[in-house]
Amino acid sequence: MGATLRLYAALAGFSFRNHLGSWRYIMSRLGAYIFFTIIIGEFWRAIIAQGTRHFPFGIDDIIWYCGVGQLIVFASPRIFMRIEDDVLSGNIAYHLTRPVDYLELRLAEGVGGLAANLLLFMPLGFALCYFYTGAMPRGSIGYTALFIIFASLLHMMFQILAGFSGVWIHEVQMPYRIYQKFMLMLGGLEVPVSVYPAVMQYLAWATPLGLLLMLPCTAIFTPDTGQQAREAILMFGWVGVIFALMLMLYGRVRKYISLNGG
Amino acid sequence: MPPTLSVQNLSKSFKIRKPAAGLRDLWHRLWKPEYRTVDAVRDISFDLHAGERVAFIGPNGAGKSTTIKMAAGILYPSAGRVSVLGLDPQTQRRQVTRALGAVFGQRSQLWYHLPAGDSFDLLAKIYDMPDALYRTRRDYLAQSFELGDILSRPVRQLSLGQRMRCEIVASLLHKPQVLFLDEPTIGLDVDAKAKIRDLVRRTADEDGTTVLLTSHDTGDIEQVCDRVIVIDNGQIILDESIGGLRQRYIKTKRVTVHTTDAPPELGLPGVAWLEQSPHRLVAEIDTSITPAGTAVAALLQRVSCTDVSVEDPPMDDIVRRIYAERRA
Repeated sequence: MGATLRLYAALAGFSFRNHLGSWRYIMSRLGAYIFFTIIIGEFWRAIIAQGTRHFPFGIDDIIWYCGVGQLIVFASPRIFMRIEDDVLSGNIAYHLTRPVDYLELRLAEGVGGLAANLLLFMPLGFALCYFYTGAMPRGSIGYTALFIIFASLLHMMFQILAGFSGVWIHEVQMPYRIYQKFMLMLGGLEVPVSVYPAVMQYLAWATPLGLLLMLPCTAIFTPDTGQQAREAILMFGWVGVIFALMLMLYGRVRKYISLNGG
Repeated sequence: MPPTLSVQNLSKSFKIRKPAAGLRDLWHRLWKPEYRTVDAVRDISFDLHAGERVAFIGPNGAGKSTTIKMAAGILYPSAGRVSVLGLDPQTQRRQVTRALGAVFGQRSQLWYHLPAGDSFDLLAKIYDMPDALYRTRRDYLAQSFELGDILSRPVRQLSLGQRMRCEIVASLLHKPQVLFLDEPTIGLDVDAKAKIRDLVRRTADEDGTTVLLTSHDTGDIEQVCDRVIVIDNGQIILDESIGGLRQRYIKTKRVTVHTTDAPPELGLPGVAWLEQSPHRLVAEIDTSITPAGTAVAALLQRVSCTDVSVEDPPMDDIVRRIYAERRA
């Protein structure tokens, strides 16, 4: 057990250092993150300034909201692309000649990359929102950070699910894009779910796809820490469910490879 | 002494979905797919002992890679059993993989965007090698395989020959007892092939590694291995020493001459033109009748050439000859 944990820590640490060393990758993502946060912030400034509709949040709230949403999207390593390469080329089978499980390998690498990205994106993202709005958020930054970590883990696991689906449907981009569309739409990346029609709000609450973005984004302007604690438990539950689903699918992938050779 | 790798009555069948014939059939097959069974490996048995270097050869689709995949624990057999150092690769995969090294020529096992040295560091962690042991081993292999500054370059920037040397070092880092080499020299030039063959043979000798090599290149087989197993249509058709194979089946050499001259009359017994094109002449020499050196010297006296190469006959020809002899 100790040796296995050391191995995962080493793999994650390696990926962490590798991510931090890729300056072009980090700078381009950070640049895109800042650009989109400001563009959407300005978009909301213009809408709220018109005053034609009452929103249950102010301009500072919505800028923090957008900053957190974009942070989750841009800080997430694109692990599905690695899995796509391995699944579609059949290389996934050749990973089985090593004493490490393919899923464990990719998860450890993903966690390492994610940790490196979050370490940079979270303080920079919060600083950006603070200087952009000139105000601290109404909600707890600690809870928001926790939600961001849960959401990023969920996002990574959904990417892995999309990657593994390629074993049967011979395509990874399509299932990933479908998931991403649902996640962005139901999660309310640019427009908070509270503005949606009732049926959409119900769907957003009923699926992890919606909660993934919605909870971290709204936590930043929700001062009720009791509510945040309940939502954190809900999200943790979804992390467990999706993790179990991922293990189940991986079992199927292993079985498929052992019968068909990848 | 028990065998290092034991394959007993091993078979593998694949279910392949039958394609639809026409639109109506497509609709029907969507709900009720039909399959045909392909027997890739059929009831084969062989044992490999410690330190043996065995070539596992045959034409494309003969079942070589399928057998190696079963021995490595990637694929599960339909029938029969494999054991590696007395362990079952199917149920004891992790233990088995610690004793295995594998190079699949057409697949990279290194981290594509990382420098090869970083991939080695990661592999050392995966194989749980103590740091000091790993560094000694890495430095020794890097020196033997002349990796030098290659170690610090991302794998994607390496030439095929450089990458292949790194792949082999990666497979040898943890000092495996069994090494699977699937087409390790595919696509390499003559120099790179020679270097890799020499290094594999030397390292396997030093470490006492059991090697199972598949290749279409007769040179790989002759220069690396001591024994050859020929498989065709999923069945073993020959299992003997390289000396025996050479004596019985590799009796010819092919000489390719790049020239614009017309093919001259050679007048040597056992030498015949195989191909005569405007810029290239190919002759086959039966070395049991005329030595290759004599034939090549005679040829070079008669034509002015820009390039000349001497090669063994392709493996497919040798397998065809073995097959024809067995049928006869």
